[in-house]
Amino acid sequence: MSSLSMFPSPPPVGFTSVCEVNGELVAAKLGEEGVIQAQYCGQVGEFPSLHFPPDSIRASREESSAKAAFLPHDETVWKRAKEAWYEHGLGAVLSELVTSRAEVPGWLGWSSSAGLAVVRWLGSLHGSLFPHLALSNEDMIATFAENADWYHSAIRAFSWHPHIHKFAIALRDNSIKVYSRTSKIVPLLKHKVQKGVAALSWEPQSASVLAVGCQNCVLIWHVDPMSLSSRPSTTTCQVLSRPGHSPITCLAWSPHGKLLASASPADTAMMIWSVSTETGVPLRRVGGGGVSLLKWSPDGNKLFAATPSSLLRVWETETWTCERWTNLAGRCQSSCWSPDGAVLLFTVADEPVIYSITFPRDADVVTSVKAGSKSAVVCVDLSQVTLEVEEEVLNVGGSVHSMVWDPTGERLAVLFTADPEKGTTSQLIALFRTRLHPVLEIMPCGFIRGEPGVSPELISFQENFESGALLAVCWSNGKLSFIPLMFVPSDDVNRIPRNGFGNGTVFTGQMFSQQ
Amino acid sequence: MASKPHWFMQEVFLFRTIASQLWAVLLVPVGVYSLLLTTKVDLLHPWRWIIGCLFEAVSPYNWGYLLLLWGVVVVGGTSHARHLTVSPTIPQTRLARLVQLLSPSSLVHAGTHVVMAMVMSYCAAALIGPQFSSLSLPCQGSEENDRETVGPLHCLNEKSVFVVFSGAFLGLCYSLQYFLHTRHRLQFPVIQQAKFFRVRTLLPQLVVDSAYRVLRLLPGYYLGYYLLGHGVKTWMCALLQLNPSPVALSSLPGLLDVGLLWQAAVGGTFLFCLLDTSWLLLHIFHAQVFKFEVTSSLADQTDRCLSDAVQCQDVPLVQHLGFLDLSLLAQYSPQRRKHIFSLSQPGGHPYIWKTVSTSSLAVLDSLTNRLAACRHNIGVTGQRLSPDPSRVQGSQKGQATGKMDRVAQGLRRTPVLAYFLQQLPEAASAELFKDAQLVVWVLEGLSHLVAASYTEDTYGVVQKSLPDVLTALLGLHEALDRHFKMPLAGTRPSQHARLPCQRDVSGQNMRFSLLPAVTTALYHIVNVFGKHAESIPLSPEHKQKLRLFLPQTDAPGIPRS
Repeated sequence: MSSLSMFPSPPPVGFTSVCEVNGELVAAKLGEEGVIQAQYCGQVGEFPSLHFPPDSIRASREESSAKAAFLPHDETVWKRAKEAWYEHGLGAVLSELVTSRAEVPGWLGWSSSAGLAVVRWLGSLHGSLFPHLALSNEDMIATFAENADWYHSAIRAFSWHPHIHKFAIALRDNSIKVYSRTSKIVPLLKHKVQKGVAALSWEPQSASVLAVGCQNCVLIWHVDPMSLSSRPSTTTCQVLSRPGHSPITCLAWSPHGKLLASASPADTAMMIWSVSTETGVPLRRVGGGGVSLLKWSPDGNKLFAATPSSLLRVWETETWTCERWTNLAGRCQSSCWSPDGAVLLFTVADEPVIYSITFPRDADVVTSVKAGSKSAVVCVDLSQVTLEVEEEVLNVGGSVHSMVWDPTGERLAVLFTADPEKGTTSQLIALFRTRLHPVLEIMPCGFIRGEPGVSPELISFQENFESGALLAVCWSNGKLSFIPLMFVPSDDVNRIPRNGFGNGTVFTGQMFSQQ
Repeated sequence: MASKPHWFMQEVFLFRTIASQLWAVLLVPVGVYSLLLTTKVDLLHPWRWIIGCLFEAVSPYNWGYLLLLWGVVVVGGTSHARHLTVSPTIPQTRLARLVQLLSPSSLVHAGTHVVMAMVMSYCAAALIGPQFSSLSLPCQGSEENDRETVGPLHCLNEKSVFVVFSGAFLGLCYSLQYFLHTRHRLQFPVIQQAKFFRVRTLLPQLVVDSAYRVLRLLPGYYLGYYLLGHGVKTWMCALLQLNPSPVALSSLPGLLDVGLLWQAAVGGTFLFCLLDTSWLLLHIFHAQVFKFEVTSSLADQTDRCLSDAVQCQDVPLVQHLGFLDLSLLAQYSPQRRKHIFSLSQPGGHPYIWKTVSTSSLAVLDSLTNRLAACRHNIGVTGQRLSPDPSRVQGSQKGQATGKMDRVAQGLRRTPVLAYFLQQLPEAASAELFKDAQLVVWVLEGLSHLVAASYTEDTYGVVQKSLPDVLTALLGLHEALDRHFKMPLAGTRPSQHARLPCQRDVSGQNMRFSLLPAVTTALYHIVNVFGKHAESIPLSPEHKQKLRLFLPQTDAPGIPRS
């Protein structure tokens, strides 16, 4: 079992990792990254390097906090109560009525304070079972979003398109930008319900559909790649919402398109939407108190769903039955599927290990979920280690915030949670080499480092990179960098070498099916 | 041949209907218990309330009512099963809709529902308490004081009449809404969950839905009773030879009775719930997947294979279930896919794939042709409505039809007739995309089969039909793309304007899933085949269109070297 102590030492301060060549990570001095990257990998990314300084992006404020800045109110108490109902629900209406008791009839003030007491008591009762339900909407998003520092980060969510060279980012000011390799136009998406964006996801098997997980709904954008407009109209947007299903912190498309799963930590039901007909089916099972993380396996047959408590489920997607995994040490923090959908890796909060579950490869869908390995196996030890690099001491390790597996199944990137008490840092991304055949093997590759004092917040592998893997990293200083990992996937070693970037070359050979 | 019923209807359909109605019958006591729980709330003595209601629900006193309710539920379920269809006829004008509502089968449906609902609301009233259960009461009040007659006088219990007739009204409305909202159309679920979970999700919604519908309908009934109640009362008195009750209900103070409103609302919700439960269970059972055999070894079951099901035009339900099964096996079942790609023994012909692909392509082509015809029609009517009438009259061939058309045009201009003869909005679109669900399954099934054939098709049976499949997909994509760009294509009903009772919304929205489904199918095939997609022999224009789906060409107008 590999551990962090087996890793090569990270680049020293002042150096940033730029790429992986010949199995080694290459670091460059600050300011020379572009040159070094071009020298080793050529013009690989072809994406512009982006920088959004956090100060330059005005955070959108919550209505209530903005309201406080404009005292005194001129609105009547009824209007305020109505707004409170739309924003926060029954509890807020009652507390609004109680605070402005002087303006409402006596019986109403009395009854609403009694009602508020009941609501609070029920809330505390419910909250003692599932503490996360006591959080406010924004705090809940910040706790469960994939982004390590959702509140302060300039880039709140990131999503690669599955097969077109483009990606979308959600910024702190609630706007979304779409960057494409081939087009200079950067569509800017804004919508009045697009608030508190925690998740973005492009529809597979389609060119234009982007799902956005907002505070109160799922918003579906149709970003026409042929359009020359930089502000796509909101008339083609679809809004998918259901009472009680908010805030939405996680989205997952079925790899075959059509179906979208959305989850909220505050709703015990996860929704499976048929986006084109706008119909949703709630899937609910007892236990868990919400759904915090969803990952659809790349073969489309399984859907991983974690809850905010120590329970997770693996659904099979043919008849939608699920297998429960209980008795985890804490809530499941992150997970990822292998490209063939047979191996699931997951990590649990406050436990420095990566678990794996292996499912049989050639069983039919229903039995493959039921007949998976009976226990989750620890496959990587991530306990804290102390590294000394040129007089600098770094404590790395501990609990994992997120991890991503590249689409060839050869590299695994792991992002840690910074823990001030234990003195661990989240500045380094641990990169592993992985092999799926004949058995799962995870071996150390190296640490990826950014600029001094800057930590990574979001990581994501491009789905269709031609020569290895391309890791996009959003850093805490608002920079977005692309780190190409150049390698030949072991599946491809015995095949005809791919012809690099010669796009448009017509394959003139006869068609043949394999085997 | 035509006289012999299809094996599916004789076996599976019958079995599913009976099973669903058995469940509905089992749920009746549960419904009665919930009715008693709602009406006899006693929060101060919760145990007595809960246990007492349970005993009351099963007490021998109420067995008669339970039997009546069971009978009604079974009759209702049978009527739902008779009307169940996957492709309902869609009336194009208000006149056609009126004719549809006045057709014998609808009238019978309405009649049975009126009677059933009266029985049910009578049962509900009797179960709740003695106040409404009897149609006659010993007279009290003013007439007793007259002392002109001797012996106990019997008066009409008008409240009971009010409640029973509210049932009749609601039953009539239920029947009307059933046809107006095409609730006899079988809706298939988005994902194939087990029946239990579907029922668990939909039953609570159904109760809320029923209560909402009843509350919307009751004001109409109150108005009707206010206007006609006196007549009803006199008629009932004459019929049952009773004296009229002292307090007239068909007056404002008479109708402002909270207890009566509560009784009518609860009884109405109860009867809507029972009718809908049997409807819901029936639809859930019939929308289940049916696994057809891909190849059959038994000699007497040769007509029961998947390839026969997908060709079955006589029974549309079988064709629908066949294509549903095809799309699921294409997606999830490598073993069954293997049979589709297999060759016949002896002979070595890919018969199964041939039939499956031919009937799939026939469905796609039929939609493409209908779309083309629709475009052509709109083009023609567009010309006809143009300000220059000489062009229409100038054509010599169609003089007779021209006259007929002019008469029709004239009739359409008469205000009252115009109301009935005008084309209903959305009706043309609904007719055009009647089998949208079928087409979506065909697209899913074909694209998954073709994609799987890249690695699984050992004998290359799919390879030969690849050009046909791609041509059909590209043709349909173009036709749909053009259709939805037309202003007449209609817009998606907005989410907020939906009434909960209009369950057919997803059926209307189904047409909007066609274009995404074709796009997805094309991308799926192209993504699996990658560069090989370019070497599939296609006509140059189709090749050009296919190139738009290849991953490299995401930039508009920028040629890449």
